[in-house]
Amino acid sequence: MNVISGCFEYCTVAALISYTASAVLVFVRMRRAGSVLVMAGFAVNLIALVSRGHIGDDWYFFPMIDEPHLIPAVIAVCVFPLIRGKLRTDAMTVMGLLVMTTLIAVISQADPPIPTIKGTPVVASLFFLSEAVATALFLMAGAVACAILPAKNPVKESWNGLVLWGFTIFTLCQILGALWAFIGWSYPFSWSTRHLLSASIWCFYGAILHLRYISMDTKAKALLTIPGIIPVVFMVYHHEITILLGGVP
Amino acid sequence: MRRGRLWSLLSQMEPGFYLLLAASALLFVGAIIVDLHSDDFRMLNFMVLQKWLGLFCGRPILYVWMFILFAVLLALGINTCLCTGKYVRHVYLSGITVRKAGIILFHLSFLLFLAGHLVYECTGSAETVVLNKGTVSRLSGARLSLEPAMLQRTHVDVAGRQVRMGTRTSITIRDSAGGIATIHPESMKPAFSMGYSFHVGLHEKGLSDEQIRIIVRKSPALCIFIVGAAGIVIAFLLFIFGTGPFRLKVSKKRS
Repeated sequence: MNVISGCFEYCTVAALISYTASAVLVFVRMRRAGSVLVMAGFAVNLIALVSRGHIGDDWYFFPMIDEPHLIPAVIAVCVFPLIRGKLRTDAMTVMGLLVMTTLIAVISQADPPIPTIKGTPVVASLFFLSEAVATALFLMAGAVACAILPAKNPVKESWNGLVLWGFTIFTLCQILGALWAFIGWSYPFSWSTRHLLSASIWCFYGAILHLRYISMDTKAKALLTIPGIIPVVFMVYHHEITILLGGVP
Repeated sequence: MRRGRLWSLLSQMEPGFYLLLAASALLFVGAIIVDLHSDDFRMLNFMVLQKWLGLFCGRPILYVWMFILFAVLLALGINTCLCTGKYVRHVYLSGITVRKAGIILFHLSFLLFLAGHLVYECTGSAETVVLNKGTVSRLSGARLSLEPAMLQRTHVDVAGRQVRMGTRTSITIRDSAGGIATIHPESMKPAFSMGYSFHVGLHEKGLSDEQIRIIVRKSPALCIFIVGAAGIVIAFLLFIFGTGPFRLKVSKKRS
């Protein structure tokens, strides 16, 4: 496959280096330099994503929004205000998540998928785009919830906003997904791993949104929010997990 | 007495929270089971719940999580109904805002989706047929006969490889009452006629150039899903315009 001379592979590695360096800088309290490096990493990450769309002599949008490669870019955008904000622990944890997701993108380095008829409708692209944004927000919510665990008496449930926006976008994403499944496969919902995982994630974060109305310790609420990462990771990295377990994806 | 206690328990938000968590856990377990037994579950997509019960009796261990899931979702539906009713009453007394209207509409849409899924699983029909160009084929369930007059497969060259980019066809449909219609479905572009939707199957292995796989589906639940989806979109818009810098106020407190 004639992909722009493997450009995306080098760019993803460059993004990983940039994100790691910025995480180190944020850790040593050099926030401004850290922000600049996150921006640089994001720019390289975008180049990597766009170059994935160049297959043969044409450009295709569908491979550009491959979730494992798009999620780091979404996290990079969201981490920017966190670095400049006052919540240093939150920023550090999300930076760790950013480095980890980029590392997975580098390790998996699968060739961009060959465009097929399934990916041609606009609704398919919108579905994956919104799903990547929503899952990135959910992963960040989990990371922020982890960040408050060492605190003695945490008060602020800072992951709530991330869960609310993640849930909103994920719900719209499910509608788009149902529409895509109907026009392509004739059913809006199927008894398949993908659909069940999506429903599981939706129910989980639906429950987490109601946590604020339930009298519970903030730490207990954080502990309840964290397991949401499991179905999200299982859904987004299903292909990679299957390969890791020695199965055929 | 006990029934009254159960009723009051179900009308609180806390059981709803735990029911959502339980549904999430069951769906996750289900996803893993389906991943391991995908062939057994694929046929459920073309089967109504009544027929599925027969399968359940044959292999209860494989399908028991679904049975529990249906019970949890039923309880969740009742809980949402009662809690939303209580919330509507509270909002009526305290005064409605755009944000609160959004929250109510979202929960009503969720109930519509739950009801839609029940209707979807219990009613309708789905049939997959392989049609030969120029030959009339009868569907057993839908009482229709289909005759494809034209069949065209398109391919594109992607990096030196021929990639199939869909199939388009023209089919004449006749129903048992003598009605005739012509439809032009394509891959990823279904056609609608006589209350059915006609989808070109994406799986084309084993088909000759003169054959096409068509899925004929009738599902009354689709209308419920469309209303539910519209409700959710409006609910989010109301919620966004009712919160933050866009805040709108429309109500007065009732005494």
